[in-house]
This record gives sequence, structure tokens and C-alpha cells, in this order.
Amino acid sequence: MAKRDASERADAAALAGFGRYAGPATLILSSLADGPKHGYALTKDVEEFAGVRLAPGTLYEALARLESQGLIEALEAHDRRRPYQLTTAGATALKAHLAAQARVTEVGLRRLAVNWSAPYWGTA
Amino acid sequence: MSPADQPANLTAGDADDARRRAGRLLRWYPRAWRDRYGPEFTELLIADIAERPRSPRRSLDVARGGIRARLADVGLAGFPLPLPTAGGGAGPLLEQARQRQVSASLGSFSCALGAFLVLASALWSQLLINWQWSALIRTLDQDHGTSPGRRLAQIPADDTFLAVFATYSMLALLVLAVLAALPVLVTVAGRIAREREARLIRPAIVLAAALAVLLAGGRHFENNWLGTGGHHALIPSGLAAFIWALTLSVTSYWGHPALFFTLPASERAWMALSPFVLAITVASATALVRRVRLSPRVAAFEACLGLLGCTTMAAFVVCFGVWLTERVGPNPGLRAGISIGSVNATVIALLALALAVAAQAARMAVRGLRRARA
Repeated sequence: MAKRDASERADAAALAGFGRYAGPATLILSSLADGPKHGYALTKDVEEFAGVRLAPGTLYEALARLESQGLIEALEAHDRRRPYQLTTAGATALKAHLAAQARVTEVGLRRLAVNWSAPYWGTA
Repeated sequence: MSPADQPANLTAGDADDARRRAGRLLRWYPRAWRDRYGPEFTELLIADIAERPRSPRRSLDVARGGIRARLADVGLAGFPLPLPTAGGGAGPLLEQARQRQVSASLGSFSCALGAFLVLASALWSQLLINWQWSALIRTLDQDHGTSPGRRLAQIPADDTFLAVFATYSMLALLVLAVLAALPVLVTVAGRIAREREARLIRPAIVLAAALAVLLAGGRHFENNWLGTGGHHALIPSGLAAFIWALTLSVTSYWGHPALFFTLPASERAWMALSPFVLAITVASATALVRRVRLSPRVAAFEACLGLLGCTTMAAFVVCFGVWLTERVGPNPGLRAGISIGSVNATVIALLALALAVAAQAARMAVRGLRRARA
């Protein structure tokens, strides 16, 4: 069990090492979890499911980082657009990262429900 | 891909305009990055321009990304260097990219060290001359027959400490530079002899020619050296004279044409030529380090020397920083005989910049090597 936790932590750390690019990296990996996409399709998909528009420079810096870490891979280009797809390592890292985020979300929501439920609002 | 994944249609004129603008934005990135990502990035930019014709945020984002990619291209930032496109295993490609990152960092370190050595040599040789003259000024009204030993004893101890400390910092840097250069030169010679690598032959020939010119010019003009006043026990004066001759061009004479033209024509010609030869020497040495593909062991040795070099460079900068800041004060001696003008202040600022670049390059090289090992 301890070994599995350590492995999950290492997978999650694969994205944490991206620093301020962890956000774009998570969005890109989540988008690619649905299947291969090129840059423009990625931008539109992320905008649709997260309400965030990744600027071109940020998108390609994150793509280059993910590719250099072996978390995604480039496919053959079609019509000057090159699709990218998630690798097995990328899927594992994304799963661990999202699981860690889900735990944080769960704890945060639970504490909000206990300490900041409706009757207290507006009394400060 | 769904129709929503396709960019908005543009008229032919708008498409041409968008392509031109995308091409201009792409120029922020270095060539290697453009070769790898250029076409797909251009298509994304065209689609983005079609949707948002005017977007300062996009221009800033691309400029920021381009600058980071350029810094990474010279091994000064963690932005990943572009991988070759798919084909072959990911492992070897990643390994190649990491090797290139380390080589780029070591190349930038060589460049920063070269610039530092040139500027520091100029400052050091100037310091030595004034150290010598401060002793003579002090004895002028006393005994003309004062021996060098007695003259030295009359210089304030902190000035002597500064001159000697700066001298041995310079010598330590030179020794480190030679230790760093030897394995690179051996590797280059081996590659040229075995594989006839054309991309190494040209910078190697240019480097050899530039070093020959510097050697000849330095040996010729070192005779004009004002000397260390016989303080040979403390200062290696032959080396000081040679280095002074190599850096004659770093001087405030350029700002005083009337004085400049009182110098002999050959000296003026050397002052004009030597900076170019020094620049060519540093550039060709940098090109060799970047291109030679050092083994991991040699690269680790070079990175280790780089960190030691940074420490020595920092000591030198602090030493001269103190010299500069204490210039205005009641204490006579070394500081009384010289004027610390804008040239000295600029040189010290440039030394600090070279040190910052060298430290960042050494840090990136060490990080790249650690990642390669992991």
C-alpha cells in the first residue's frame, strides 16, 4: 500500500514539476484523454470544458514540456497541423494528478460545508 | 475532428495578412524551434488571428515564449529544447535533447567566462599599473633611490592586498579555464582526426588563427607595459604585461581622441584590431564547446569547473566592487593615483552581468546532467 502511495505521489509530481505550467499541462492532458488533437482543436476543447483560452505561446511551451517529459507524443502532421496524443505515462500522471486534486477538492468542500454554510453568510 | 475544430474561414486577402503576421510572430523563436514547431504553430496563429484580429495579449504571450525559447537555445532557461519529430524511440530523442541542452549551457558558460576574462584582465592590468605608480608617487619627494622592496612597504596594506588578491583570482580563473579547455580540445582533436567532422574543423581553424594573432600581438606590445616596479615576488609581471597588451583596447582613450592620436600608429591599429580578434576567439571556442558533444563524464567535469569558476569570478567582482565604492574616501595610496571613471564602472557592471550569465549556465548544465542521470 505504501509502495502504491509513493508511486502515485511520483506520478502526480510529474505534473507538479511543471511549476506554473502545471495548469496548462493538466488542461492539455485532460483534453488529449479524449483522443489526439492538434493545437487549434486543443485550444477550442479546453475553452469549451474549462472556460480558459490557452494563448498560442503558452500552449506550445506546455506541449514542448509534455513532449520532452514523454507524457504526450507527436503524430504525423496533416495539412501542416500536427496532432498530439497522450502516452501511457501521460495517462498515469494525469490520473494521479487529478486524484490528488480531487482529494483537495473534497476536503475543501467538506470544510466549507461545515464552517461556511448558508446561515453564517453575511454575518461578518 | 469536428467542424468546430476547424478555424474560421478567411478571405484570400485576410488569409495572406494573417499568414504574414503569424510569420512575424514566429520570428521571436530560435531556428531550431521554428524548424520543429514552425508550420503547426503558424497554422494555430493564423486561426487565432482569424478569431481575434487584434490581441496584444497574444503578441505578448508569443514574445515571452520566444524569448524563453531563445534563452533555452543557449542553455540559459529550462524551456525544453525541441525534440525531433516522431520516428525513432522517444528515449534516444530525449537523451539527445538533454545532451544538446547541456552542450548549450556549457557553450554559454564558455562565452561568459571568455568575456569575463577579457574585461577582468583589462581591469586587473590597470590596477597593477596604478599600484606601481602609487608607490612611486609616495616616494617621489623622498628618496629617489628607494629600493622596490621599500617602496612596496610604503603602500597601504589594503591596496597591496587588493592587488595581490585580484592577481591570484585572475590566475585561478586562468588555471580553471585551461583545465576546462584541455578535455574539450582533446575531444575536438580526436573527433577531427577520426571522423573529419566539418562542423568542428572550421571553428577549430578560426580559433587557432585567432590565438596565433593574439599571441603575436600580445608578445609585441607587452614591451610597452609600465611594469610592476620590481614586485616580481608577488606579481607574475611577464604574464601581467602580456595580458595588459591583449586588453589594450579597454581604455578611456577612445573618449579622448586628442590623446588617442598621440599613441603610435601600430598601437592604435592593435587597439582597433584586438577586440575583434578577442571576440572571434571567444565565439569560436563557444562554437566548439556547443558542437563537440562531450561525454557525460567530461561534461560533468566541465560543469564542476564551471561552479568553481563562478565562485572565483564572484570573489573578483566583489574585490573590484569594493575598490570602486571605496574610491571616494580620505584614504590615499592606490585610490589616490587613479580616476575611476565611467569605463571602470561599466566594466564592473559588465563583469557582474557575465558572472550572472555564467552562474545561470553552470546551474542549467548541472541540472541537465542530473536529469540525464535520473
